[in-house]
Amino acid sequence: MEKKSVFWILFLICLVVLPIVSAGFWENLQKSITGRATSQPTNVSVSVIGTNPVQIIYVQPISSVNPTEASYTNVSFEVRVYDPDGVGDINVSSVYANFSRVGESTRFSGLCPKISDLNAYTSNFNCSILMWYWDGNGVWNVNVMASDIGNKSIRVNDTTYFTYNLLKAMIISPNALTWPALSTGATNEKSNNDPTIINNTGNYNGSVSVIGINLLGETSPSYNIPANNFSVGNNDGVVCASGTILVNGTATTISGTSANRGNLSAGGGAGQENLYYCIPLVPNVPSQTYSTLQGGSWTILYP
Amino acid sequence: MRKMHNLIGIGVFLLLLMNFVSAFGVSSPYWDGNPVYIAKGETKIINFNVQNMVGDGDVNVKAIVREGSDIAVLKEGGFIVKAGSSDKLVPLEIRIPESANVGDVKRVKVDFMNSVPGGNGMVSLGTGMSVAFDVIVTEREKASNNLLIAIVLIVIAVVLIVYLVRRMR
Repeated sequence: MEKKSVFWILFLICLVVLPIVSAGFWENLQKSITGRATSQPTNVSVSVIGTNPVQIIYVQPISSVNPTEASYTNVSFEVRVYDPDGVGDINVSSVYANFSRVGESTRFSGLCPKISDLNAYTSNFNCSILMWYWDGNGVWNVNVMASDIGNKSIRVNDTTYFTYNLLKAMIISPNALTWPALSTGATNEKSNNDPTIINNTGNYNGSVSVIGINLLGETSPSYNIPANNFSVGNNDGVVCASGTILVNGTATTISGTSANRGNLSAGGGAGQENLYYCIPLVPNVPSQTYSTLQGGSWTILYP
Repeated sequence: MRKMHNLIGIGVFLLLLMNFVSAFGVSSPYWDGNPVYIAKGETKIINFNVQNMVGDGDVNVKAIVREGSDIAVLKEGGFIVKAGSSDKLVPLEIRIPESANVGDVKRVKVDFMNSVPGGNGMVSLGTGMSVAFDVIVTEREKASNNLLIAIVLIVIAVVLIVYLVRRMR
């Protein structure tokens, strides 16, 4: 019976003391004794953010792309980013893309802007990447990156590929060759307005050929200087001695030449090749002017 | 800003190239090492994209099938490519005969030439591009067999329905 009384007394004490303590009794007591403030007002804002990472659920297929001569091709495609925590958790400043291929410079997009929300969890973005005329033809890999506000981890989708086509394109200067007056039997007579500068305005990366045509006499076309009297090369110093001999009406690969695919604006010979011309031995033909006037022009060819 | 720099760079670059002459380009979806697959008995149209983005005038281009003329025919043998254009399409029709063998490899080569008039007393120079690729003959797709199976199944179903209806009467 005594124990019961003690229990009820302790219970009543707890009932009275606990509210006092939890209401800051000791703090008030400390404050009144020391004068130190025990707390101060603080602005607190709490935003609920998702912990799930985003998923790049769709990258629009890109059909094969044609390079543009001496310029770039803007490749645009759609990307869909999904976040189980809702579109509000997608970091809209985190969506980027690039195109990559072994041995080539990677081409990067700027920030892919958000276009719209497809639903409460998926947003639609548009990425644009410039492909340059000298970028190599073949299969390129599309890499898309995105992250969210809550999880912050960057997610990558690299499952899409596209084909960048071959572009054979050039621009040459000058478009005609001349020689000084020649004498029959003269040797190693070089053109006096070469080289032909060949600017590669595409992404072809092979040799250069020339189709030579016999030069017919302008007065007496029955006489001609056969194409095989001409040698062509990319080295002015040795074109007469070891240049490639042309064949009438036939595409002849000029030894040692290359289209040198590259950025023409960079200078230093990128994207350029030079051709020099020589008549190693002037044939014994009647004196008159010989030209392509009647037989047709020669052709600089990317074979 | 980066795009603006690019545009300015291209503008200056194109102005420099305007001093050059005789320009055009040919873009192809197929090339050596990237063949086209066509089933025997089928026909495919391949479009070459011809461009003239750099030159200062229209370009007269002739196209000739140099190899594979037994299966490949150009729809246009000669055409003008407008200055500043990059959208000219030149279709090449490739027809694989029924008699071809699966796995046969046929080579197609098309030359595009910009011949310039030969001037007095000089050697005129034109430009040209060759586009070559392999055509690999494949088996015809089984779509027709599937269609046949579908027709047979539909006929069987109709017969069964008719039979059941008659039985019920």
